[in-house]
Amino acid sequence: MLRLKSRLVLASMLALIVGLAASTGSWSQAPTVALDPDKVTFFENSVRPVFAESCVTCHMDGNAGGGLRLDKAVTAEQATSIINRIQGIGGNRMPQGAAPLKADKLKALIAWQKSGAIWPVGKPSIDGNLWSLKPVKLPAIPTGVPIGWNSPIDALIASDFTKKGIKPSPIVDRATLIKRASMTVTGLPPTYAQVKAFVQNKSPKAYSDLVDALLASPAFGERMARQWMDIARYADTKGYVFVEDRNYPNAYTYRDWLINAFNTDLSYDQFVIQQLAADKVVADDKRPLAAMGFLTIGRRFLNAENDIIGDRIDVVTRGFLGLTVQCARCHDHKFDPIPTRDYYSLYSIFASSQEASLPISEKSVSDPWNAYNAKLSSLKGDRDTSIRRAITRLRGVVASSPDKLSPKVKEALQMTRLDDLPTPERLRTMMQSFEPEEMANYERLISEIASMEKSTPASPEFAMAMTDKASPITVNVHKRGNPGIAGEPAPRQFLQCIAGEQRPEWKDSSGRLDLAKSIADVNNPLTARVYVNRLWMNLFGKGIVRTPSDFGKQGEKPTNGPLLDYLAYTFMHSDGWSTKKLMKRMLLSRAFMGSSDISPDVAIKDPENRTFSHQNRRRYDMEQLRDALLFSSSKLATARVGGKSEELWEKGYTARRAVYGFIERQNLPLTFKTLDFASPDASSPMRFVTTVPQQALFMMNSPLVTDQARDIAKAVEQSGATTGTKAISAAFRSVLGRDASPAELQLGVAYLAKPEGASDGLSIGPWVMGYGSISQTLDRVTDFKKLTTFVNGTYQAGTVIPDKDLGWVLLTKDGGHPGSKDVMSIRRFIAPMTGTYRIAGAISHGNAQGDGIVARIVSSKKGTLGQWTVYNNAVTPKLDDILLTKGEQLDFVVDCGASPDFDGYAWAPSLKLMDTGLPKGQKRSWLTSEAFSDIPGPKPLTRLEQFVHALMMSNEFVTID
Amino acid sequence: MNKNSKYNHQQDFADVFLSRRDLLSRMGNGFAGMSLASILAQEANAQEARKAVKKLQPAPSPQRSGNPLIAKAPPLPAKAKRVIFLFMNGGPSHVDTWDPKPQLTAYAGKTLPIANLATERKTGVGLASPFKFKRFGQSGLEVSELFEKTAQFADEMCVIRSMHADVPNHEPSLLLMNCGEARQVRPSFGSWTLYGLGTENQNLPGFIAMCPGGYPIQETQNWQAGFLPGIFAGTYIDPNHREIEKIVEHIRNRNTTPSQQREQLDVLRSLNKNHSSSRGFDQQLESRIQSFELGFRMQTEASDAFDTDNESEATRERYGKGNFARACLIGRRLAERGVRFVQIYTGEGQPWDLHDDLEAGMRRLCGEADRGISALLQDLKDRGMLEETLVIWGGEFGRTPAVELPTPGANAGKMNGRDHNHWGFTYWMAGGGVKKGTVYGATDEFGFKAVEKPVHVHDFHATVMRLLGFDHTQLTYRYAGRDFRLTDVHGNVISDLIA
Repeated sequence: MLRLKSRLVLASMLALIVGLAASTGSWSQAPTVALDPDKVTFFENSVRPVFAESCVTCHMDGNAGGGLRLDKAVTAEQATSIINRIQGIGGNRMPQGAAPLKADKLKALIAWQKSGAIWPVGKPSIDGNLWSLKPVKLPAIPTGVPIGWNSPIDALIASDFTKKGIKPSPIVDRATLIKRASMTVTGLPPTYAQVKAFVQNKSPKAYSDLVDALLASPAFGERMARQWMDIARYADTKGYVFVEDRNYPNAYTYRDWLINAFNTDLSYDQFVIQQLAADKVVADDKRPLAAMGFLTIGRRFLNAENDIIGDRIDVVTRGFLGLTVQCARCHDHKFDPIPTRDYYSLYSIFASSQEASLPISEKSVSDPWNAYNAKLSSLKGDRDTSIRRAITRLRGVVASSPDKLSPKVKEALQMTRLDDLPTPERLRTMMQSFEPEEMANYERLISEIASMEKSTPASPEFAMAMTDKASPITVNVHKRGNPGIAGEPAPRQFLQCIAGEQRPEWKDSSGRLDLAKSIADVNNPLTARVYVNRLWMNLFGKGIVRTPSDFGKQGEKPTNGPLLDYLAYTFMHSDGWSTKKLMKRMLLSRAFMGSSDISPDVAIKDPENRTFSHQNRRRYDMEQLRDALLFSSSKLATARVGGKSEELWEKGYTARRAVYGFIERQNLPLTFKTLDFASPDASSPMRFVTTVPQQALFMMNSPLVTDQARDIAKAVEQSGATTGTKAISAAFRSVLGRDASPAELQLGVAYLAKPEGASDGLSIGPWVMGYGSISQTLDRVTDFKKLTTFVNGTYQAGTVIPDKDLGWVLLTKDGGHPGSKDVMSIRRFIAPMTGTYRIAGAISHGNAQGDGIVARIVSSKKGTLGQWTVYNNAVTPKLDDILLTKGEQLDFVVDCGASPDFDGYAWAPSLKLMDTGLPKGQKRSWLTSEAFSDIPGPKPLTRLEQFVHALMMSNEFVTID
Repeated sequence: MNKNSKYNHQQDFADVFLSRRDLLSRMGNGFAGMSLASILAQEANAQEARKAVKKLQPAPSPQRSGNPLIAKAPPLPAKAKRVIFLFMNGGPSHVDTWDPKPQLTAYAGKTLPIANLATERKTGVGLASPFKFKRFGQSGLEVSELFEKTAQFADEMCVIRSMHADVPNHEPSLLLMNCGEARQVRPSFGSWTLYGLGTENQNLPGFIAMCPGGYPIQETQNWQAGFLPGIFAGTYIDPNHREIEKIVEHIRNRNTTPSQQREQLDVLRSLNKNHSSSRGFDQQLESRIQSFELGFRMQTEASDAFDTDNESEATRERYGKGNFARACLIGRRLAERGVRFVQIYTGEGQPWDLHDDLEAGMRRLCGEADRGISALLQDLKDRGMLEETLVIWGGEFGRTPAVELPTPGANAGKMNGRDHNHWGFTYWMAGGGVKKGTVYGATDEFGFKAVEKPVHVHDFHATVMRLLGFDHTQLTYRYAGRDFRLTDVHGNVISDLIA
């Protein structure tokens, strides 16, 4: 009975979609023989998938192992043999070299074989079986639900968990609720003051007001945009493209459009249409053109068109429809009703479109810019013409009376190809022979150009848009994905499984707008379902469908189908595709407010929280983490919305939100990967969540984190926190947005009371660069002074070289120069531990002028160890290994000799500890180059800074309960 | 548990990352001691401790800890536990190294009797190898003088002289060799290995790619994770760097002493304990607490692993001075420490791309490579590690036996170099369960094309996966509606290469 019913639903649904009284819903050739529908269903559900999954790789068109193909019908005889071979009878066990088939699968195949081994011809009529292709219907709202679960969303959830005997978790406390709502809606945590105000607000509208405020915040658009950017595989670069420029300098205009679209609550149907075909719908305001970045910001795959279009088909179909159409690039989709022809229909649409960089700024900006560019390029053209004319005349002179020209001018002419402009250098040479009026004309033009270039008007912004090609293209199916093997033509039209067999062809244009409208159609069963599921996932941590970009057979079914349909239906029909309206309903639901703590009972009955009887605890994603770090130190620049991309993880850390991060898709910096960022290579439905020590190292050691800890500590101190208790209390408020408990205060105060401790464990190198002289009587360096200025890899006395008092004294990683008489350059090594050291490094002086240098190695305990005069040669000091005690200084001194001129030298000494049996991890060798590192030297953290840093590393800081 | 029979299928795997079953483990009993178990498991000499803890605690698993890099056993028996892949980027000439062609000498300066196959550029007459070949070992493997030191290990080697790829261009061939697909974004070989096996030392990245001086072409795509989680991507290291901060990101804190950091982590532990106590057991929170302990230890371990100063002078002398050689030495240190996959490129760009000056170039490159590689093999053998370390040598393709003709802007027109050749080239493997002292397949008599028992790159991948204990058709990952694998829909295991 049940089966019969579902078939009826299927038939009626197909009739609805196709607009025909379709009998079976088969969308290729109709079966020639009427097959038992039960057997067909059994075959499609339990047999074909087994072959598809375990057999066809080696038994398909083009690779028919043993002459058998399992991508098409088999005879009853073959079926018997197949069953035998799977059991290892009559030959090698199949699948060969793979694990045996699971018992239930084998059982299904045997049942199929015994019942006649039917094989429905043509494509499987599984459209109707795919839940996601059924029309979206408003479900009945259950009644008799627990108190507080009355809204339709809650009632649908409650009826589900009640049925399973699950009790929901209680409503969370207000502090948890405001953090949860803020982090999920805006990506920013609330401040201490905001939390306090919310907790104390007794108004029944307090939460509803909060939700309104969050949705109205510009930060909402930034958070939502970043989530869509995962879907849209956003990046600021093209990937590997040989030597051409890799940047997408205008990719940011797509992000700006996204942020604005969410903040202005652009209806989702328009959101779809503008991203696919803004060129067809824009009026005076050209900014929507930037929306088409959705199509154009993908990877460029060495500029292979097949792959670029494949990437666009993928982002459109998985992004909007939750269908994996790219699977049909080489063969009909193995599981979903997507024939190869559908893939190439979409291919034809994109092959009929071309990229276009179009200005989107207002006319008041674009017009002057366009006029300016026209003028400038005309002047440059005139300049080039004037040069060409003069060169042509000169070439004539070469032919007629060559002696009139200097050899240099003739050579410059010879080296310049006939149709090329000369290099600037050659042009200068040729000008010696320009006529006065040629010269005057040229000079007038370049001065005009120069004066124009001084006053460049503001450039308009550009969209990475698409437009239609002059005449649209219909490609043929590439058989097996091979462009060299043409199959049937694939006209521009929508997917058969949604639009039916009789769908129109889009003959007059690329079809992008038609495609967009077909996707954003209220009758499209997928679009709203896929989108509301993404919104749900953003707010609840898990989707109702847990494979958010795969609503096909291989994906998961909704955990609560009626809920999904209710949301999708009301999103279209009540909210008018308004993201904010739908999100508000979700946010105000009882389900959203539930605690993420669970009872043991729930853990057993619904371990995956498929009922949403409670909330899901989450850890900050990369953007939430970075933003929260800068937010806690009050540095995050939240006021400015939109703009160009900036490096996130380079020193000088931008204060902009992480959504504005520059995404270099080819060599994505490691920190992105460490923090589970979405790969920008392809549409990404959700972030992975890993827990690895590299993430801990980022929190422990990244200057980005410690910098914020310092700033917070500073602010705490400046706020007049005179006692340890006050300081710790203020630190908790800044970092965690709450008051510390008495136990925590005690913990913090005790930490502050710890002695600062020695800082010699810090990696202060043993090298100090300086100058001074050697006391003849004491045989020691007695007046050592540091060279304090470090510029361009050089330690020197001041910004100006030579220094008026000290002369040329300087040191680099390779060598240096002594100063005036008795101002010797000194490279000092302070022994980090007692041990036997070997000293290495040659000294060279490479100038025959002057009188060379005198180099010495002087110990603070033992005096001069060696002395070498080096003059236009190289010397390798030979010294025995030497025992140095900890703290002993070894000075590498260079004196200018009699004359301080021409005394640049190379000497990069290194030391190595020769002792054996040193502890693991003990540094053994020291190169002088360490002192020239661009890694900043240590700035030890105070105890308060360390404690603030610990708070930032805490689980609480990164967790949304 | 799993909808699918396939090993390590995403459906299982998703649990690691999406923690679908995190609630199960949140409420599970006895996992609270996990931190102790997994931390002890990191100890170099913690065998006993591990046994003791094992009795009390379930073994750390990716599912429970959220750390997908925890070591896993492969589904099939295998000797190879790790891989060191020596990548001669640019395309090393096989007829000058591992594939002797006396007939080519006979045709030096003459038109070859076979038609020159289409390669990237125009080629002309036969260009004889200027190098002498000699037989080595009991197996009598013929190797040119360029690799006479490495050839001392002839009896450990399995040389494939019949490799072939698809196109004669660097970019797609590098991607094909490294990721099994020429243009689209797919996980690299090392990422698949890490995905399948995890890694034995949580204090170091599990997949390390070294290239002295900068990137090879196609850059970090050569060790990309593709659609696998980013943590499976190779970690790039420039062995020219000496400062540990520049080798491993965030490995050192210049502003807090180790003892202060220890105190800081202790206070962190107290803060976290307080946080957890009001929430009931949650494996995600617990794992994050542990990750700080692991990170703390990683600081010491990683610094030590990359510090070749800890090697004796004699050892460093054996490897030689060059940066590739130093990378080989680091590679050995990493293998010793349980890093699963190490890939070492010769240098930035494409050093082996000798369109001109083949002889001088080969002497320069092989001089360093021969010394570094032979020292590496010696060390692995001496330490008893060769049996379980799969060493792979090769590039993205080989080079033509015919001389490259001058092309403006393409070469210096010296007519003393070779063009790219994807039709036939050589790879060799040693250790890790390969059939020792073997030569497999052959190119034609001039070395142009693989003619006898050709081995496509996909077949090679399938074979290596088998050496690591995987059926290459079963190690899959579901992405965008399809189960992807390193060999896509191709590849046959060459069982003659396996001992």
